[in-house]
Amino acid sequence: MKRSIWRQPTFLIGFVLFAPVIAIAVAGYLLAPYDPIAYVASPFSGPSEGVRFGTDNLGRDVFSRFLAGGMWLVVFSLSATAIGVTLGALAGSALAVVGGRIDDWVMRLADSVLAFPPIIVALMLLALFGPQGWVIVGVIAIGHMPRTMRVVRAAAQSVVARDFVRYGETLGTPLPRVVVADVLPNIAGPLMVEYGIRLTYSLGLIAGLSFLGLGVQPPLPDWGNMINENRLAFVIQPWGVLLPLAALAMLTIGISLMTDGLSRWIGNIETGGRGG
Amino acid sequence: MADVNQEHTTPDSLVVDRLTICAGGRRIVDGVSFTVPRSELVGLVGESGSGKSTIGFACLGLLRSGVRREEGRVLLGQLDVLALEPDAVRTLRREKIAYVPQSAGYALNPSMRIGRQLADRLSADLPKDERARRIAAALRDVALPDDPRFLMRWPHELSGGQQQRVAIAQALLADPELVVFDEPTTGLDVQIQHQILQLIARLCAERRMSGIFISHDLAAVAEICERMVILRDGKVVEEGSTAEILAGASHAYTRELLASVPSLARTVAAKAAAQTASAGDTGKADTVLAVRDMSIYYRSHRAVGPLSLEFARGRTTAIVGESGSGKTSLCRAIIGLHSHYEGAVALDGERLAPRARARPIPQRRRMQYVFQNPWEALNPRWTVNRILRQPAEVLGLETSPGYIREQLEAVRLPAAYAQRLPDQLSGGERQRVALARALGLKPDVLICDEVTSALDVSVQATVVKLIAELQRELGLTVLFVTHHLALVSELANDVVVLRQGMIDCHGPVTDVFATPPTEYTARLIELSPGLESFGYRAPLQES
Repeated sequence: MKRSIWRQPTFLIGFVLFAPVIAIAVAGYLLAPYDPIAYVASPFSGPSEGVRFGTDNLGRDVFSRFLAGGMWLVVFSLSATAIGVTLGALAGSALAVVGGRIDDWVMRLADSVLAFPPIIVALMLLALFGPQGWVIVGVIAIGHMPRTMRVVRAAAQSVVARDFVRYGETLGTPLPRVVVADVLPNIAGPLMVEYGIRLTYSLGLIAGLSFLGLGVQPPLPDWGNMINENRLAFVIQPWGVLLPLAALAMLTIGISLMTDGLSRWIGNIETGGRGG
Repeated sequence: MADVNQEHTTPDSLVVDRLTICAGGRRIVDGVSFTVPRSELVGLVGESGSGKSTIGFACLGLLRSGVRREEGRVLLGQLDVLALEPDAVRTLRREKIAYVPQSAGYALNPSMRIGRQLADRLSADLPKDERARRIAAALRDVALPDDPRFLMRWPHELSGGQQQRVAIAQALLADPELVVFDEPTTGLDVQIQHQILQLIARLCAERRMSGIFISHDLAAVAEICERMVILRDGKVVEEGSTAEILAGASHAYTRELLASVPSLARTVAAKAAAQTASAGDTGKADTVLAVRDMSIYYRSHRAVGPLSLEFARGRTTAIVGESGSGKTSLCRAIIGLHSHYEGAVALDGERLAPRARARPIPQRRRMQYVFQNPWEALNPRWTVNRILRQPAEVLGLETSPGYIREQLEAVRLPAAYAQRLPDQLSGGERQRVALARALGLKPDVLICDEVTSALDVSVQATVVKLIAELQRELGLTVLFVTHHLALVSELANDVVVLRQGMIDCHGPVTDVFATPPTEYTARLIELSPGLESFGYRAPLQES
């Protein structure tokens, strides 16, 4: 740990974009001037005194709805990513260590899961179970798993071929220990990037589902369904679309920059070079 | 200016004049001057970090980014190589100076067929049949087939020696005045190394080409170079004709370097003397490890065997052979890393499970393995402390409170190293840590797989000495795999020569080396590089 991560400029810029959006998503509802589902003024009225960003299609305060509408999106995305990528990474590195026939079979299975577009599966299951949080998180996490498995397995294979892993094998190190102590720390860079990419995908997918009316149900506010509700009046009252859109953009760009910076930082503290 | 005034009838092909190169404020090359006479080979000798590769690259007009010439010149004829415009540098490299890299395996483009790769070196203006003719001629020069089938092959389909020949052919195509050879024989086994060295010497003589031969292997340099320049920390320690330096090096560092080159003749004599002094120590043959009727397979291909071997307690057995002879496969099968074999491995008469994981803890503790490449053998994310604790933790064994300090002490490393990460250690230090890790649980059998081949000569000597000392202190049974015969004579009691997966001969080192029982072994010994055959006389050593 030679240099603090905070001195890595890419990460810092990413964090500056990411942190305020997350703060709003998590704690914004505490600052909301109105009840997000209360009628405030006539629908689609522009910004005015007390109603800073105007009202939405049903005359509710856009700003209050914006402040209160990020929570579930962020919570669902983070948990879907955490579950999907973590399980995928564990499975991928375990397969790289085990190899052989088991590896072949599980990867073919993963490939067949890959063949289903996650959005279609999500639509199907949500139609079946109704729009519930655990279904959304579960479907998206399972959608991430095979993809993460592929990436992590490839990265882990080059670690597994190295002699320090072989040394562990001569001691008879149990598989979970090889994965956690030997493999994962040495693929931290690509793994961080994977978390970042999957998080932005989750955000996009979940916001998309919500836009289609399959996420948080009206009248509760959500950035995805806000965009849908207010897009018709975009020309006369753009704030109902612009605020959630800007938040999503900042979040996505922020996450990408942060993971970029993070993997570069990990690369820097890794082995400097090899003589010669 | 230097070359014009000299009275040589043949002007020097290359003059390096007070060259000083800096990287990040540090002088990595410091006032180096030497000349390369026309059609001669000059050896640039030094350990890692001595600046020899940087000088080699500078002769090509190439400085790594962040590296800067502070002073001095590299003159090729009248041309100051380091002051050329990018276009002129390209012309220079295309027409006058060629480069042969250390590891042809990495230097050849893996996704380009050999023919395309060679044609790339030639001007596209040449007519097609003229290009084909030149490529065929270059391939014949390096003793490779020139038929179309060979040209269609991929680099990975060639052996290490063939790859190196292709790299040399590539350099020859430009018909250069000077070739920079950057450790072209490192990593090749004895026979191939000998062939490549002879090839380089022959080509330089025939084509009146001059060459710079960069190496840490004094024996290789002595074999083919007329002159050598000894470098240390970017400075020239000594320069002169090979014969003069071998006959009487004036600088202490050179003498040290010469003495650390392992040599067959020297040590066999010493060993024979020592053995007659303490005769009868071979009497009790107490077998600790036995391999019975073993055949090792890769898929359906039998790589080793069938063979049977016994290893006596407290003795060091060297396992020798060329690459592909099965020495590493044999060790991996014994330790339980490669389980696809027939036959049996027995430790103290108990048959071992093929996979290490399936063996009971005491068996896993009693056999330990040290790997070839110290850059790969330690987890780069772990501190030395954690690395040393790993075996005890995995096997669930207790260690004493001073364990880490004792282990570091045993391999002659300071206790403060416990907090370091592997990339803060040199190659030799890493190999010591790997040894400490293996010896921590007091094993009975230590398997060393080419543990010195990735190290500099002088570091290699200290690691070998350490293994020999630890072997005596702890009464270890050591299996020492190597392709370096001179090391065998220094370290081992017994030797097993493997050839294409079979035992060529097996016996005490002194017997085998004094009167090789087979033709193959005799030839291996004959080709083994040492300095004696080039006129070096070692100072007398205390036993």
